[in-house]
Amino acid sequence: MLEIKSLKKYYRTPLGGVEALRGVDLKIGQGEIIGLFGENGAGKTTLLKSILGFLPYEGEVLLDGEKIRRSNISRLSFATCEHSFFPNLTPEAHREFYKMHFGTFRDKRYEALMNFFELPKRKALKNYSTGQKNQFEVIMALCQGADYILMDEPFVGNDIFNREDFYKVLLGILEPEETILLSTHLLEEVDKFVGRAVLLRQGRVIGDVTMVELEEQNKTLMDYVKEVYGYRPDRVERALEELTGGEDE
Amino acid sequence: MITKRKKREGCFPPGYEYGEQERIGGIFLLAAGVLFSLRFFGRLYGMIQNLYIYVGQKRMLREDAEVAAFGRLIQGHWVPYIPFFLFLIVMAFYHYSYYYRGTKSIYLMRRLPAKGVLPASCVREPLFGMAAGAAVFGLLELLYYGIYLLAVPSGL
Amino acid sequence: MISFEDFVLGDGYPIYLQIIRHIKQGIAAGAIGHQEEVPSRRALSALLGVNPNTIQKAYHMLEDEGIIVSRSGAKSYTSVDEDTVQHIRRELQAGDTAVWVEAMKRLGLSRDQALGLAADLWEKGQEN
Repeated sequence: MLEIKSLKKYYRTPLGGVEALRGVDLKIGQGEIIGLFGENGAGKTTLLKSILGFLPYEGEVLLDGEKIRRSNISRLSFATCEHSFFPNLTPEAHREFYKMHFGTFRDKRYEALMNFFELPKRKALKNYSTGQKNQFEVIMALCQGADYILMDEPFVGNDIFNREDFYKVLLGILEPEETILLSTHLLEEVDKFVGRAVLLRQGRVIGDVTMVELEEQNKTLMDYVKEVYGYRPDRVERALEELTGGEDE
Repeated sequence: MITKRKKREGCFPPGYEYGEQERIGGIFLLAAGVLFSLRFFGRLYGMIQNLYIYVGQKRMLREDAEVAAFGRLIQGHWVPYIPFFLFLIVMAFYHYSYYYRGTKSIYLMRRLPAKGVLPASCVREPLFGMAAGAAVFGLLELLYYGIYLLAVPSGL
Repeated sequence: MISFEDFVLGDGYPIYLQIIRHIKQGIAAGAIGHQEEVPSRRALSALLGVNPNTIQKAYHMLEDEGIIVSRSGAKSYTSVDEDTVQHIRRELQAGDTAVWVEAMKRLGLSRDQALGLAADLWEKGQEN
């Protein structure tokens, strides 16, 4: 269980300050597949980076009751659209690096995924296409042997076929104890894939619902998000009416 | 099997292209050594010249000939090495910035369970360079002390 | 093993209900028989690209109805006898007819008009 308690993050800027996170409370059970949604600046990236200990924050992040430290940090892995691999090294070199530092590397899964996505193992990553880089980044996060796999917009630049393939492969290979926390703006695409949706807005959790609950209410994720955001479907109509003074065409 | 290249690579951040940097470092160290040497020999020559006067064609030892202590000849011996050490310090920071260049491999480094991997990768090579610099420095000192002893006329 | 080859995920209708329907239709049509293997949660999840909890919900509901029997750690199988097949057929028939009746009512047709329309179209269908 990954528990986030009253997480606050304040950035000081020359123009004053920004409250990126204003008290986030969240409990993530092992084995869940969670989509983290929110507009740009909602705090998704800040939340993930705080969990991983990249930023100082107020509040608590506990992994099975313990703070995140060297002894348990290998239970978390990370894939980001900014990419966290070494561009001059090859995938094989990364495999060696991961094996050296994380004793739980999943070799068979690495082989299977690299082959499935046809990624050249001995080519320096700087020579990969953007789509391939994204795929490799996610593969390493999946093969580290972590229980909690955090992903920050990992598929920016991949076409939809790539992404659909990936969701399916993930569903097939994930073990029951593996947890995914996926931050993405591709709401409509991942609504079948995730089991739970957490909505962030201006540093706060404004929605937290399981997909089964939504299905029982016959709502799509988009319906739920619109509801929670107070989106009014007729706002475009109204605006146009105002602009055109109610004239027809 | 740990090859020589792997040993070299191990001193730097993973995937770091160190060739250029080694060349520049080598040049700094070489320049330091050369400058130091030139200065020493210059002073040594000057000092020795001052020990003699010329009477006609003959070179004679001065009565008040005083041999400067070795220490005076090498005064400020460490100054030519300053650029080299500054270079090493700058390189340590440059190594750290490598984790932000191109990709954010810093996010991988900061997740490693082993202690000190990140700082070690930044300072290992500069420390190695400092050791090399100190060794060159020490060797030259010894060498030139020997030369000094030989150069000074006996009896003084 | 129950096949999902011709199963297409639709919109606007909960996925777990779509899965249940697919299986019930198979049983009603005789394509799925007794003691037929049910795909594992994980396999079906990967095939359809659907979260395992949704698959779980569908399977649980079918278990509650006694259509699937599962043992923990082992494969699940269908449990359909002739009575079950008839029951499911009637259930589906009633359900689809109810939908049609609603649609006709919304269009403002009377009972006789609706039945007349159905009879006409039935004839046409038979000719083709």
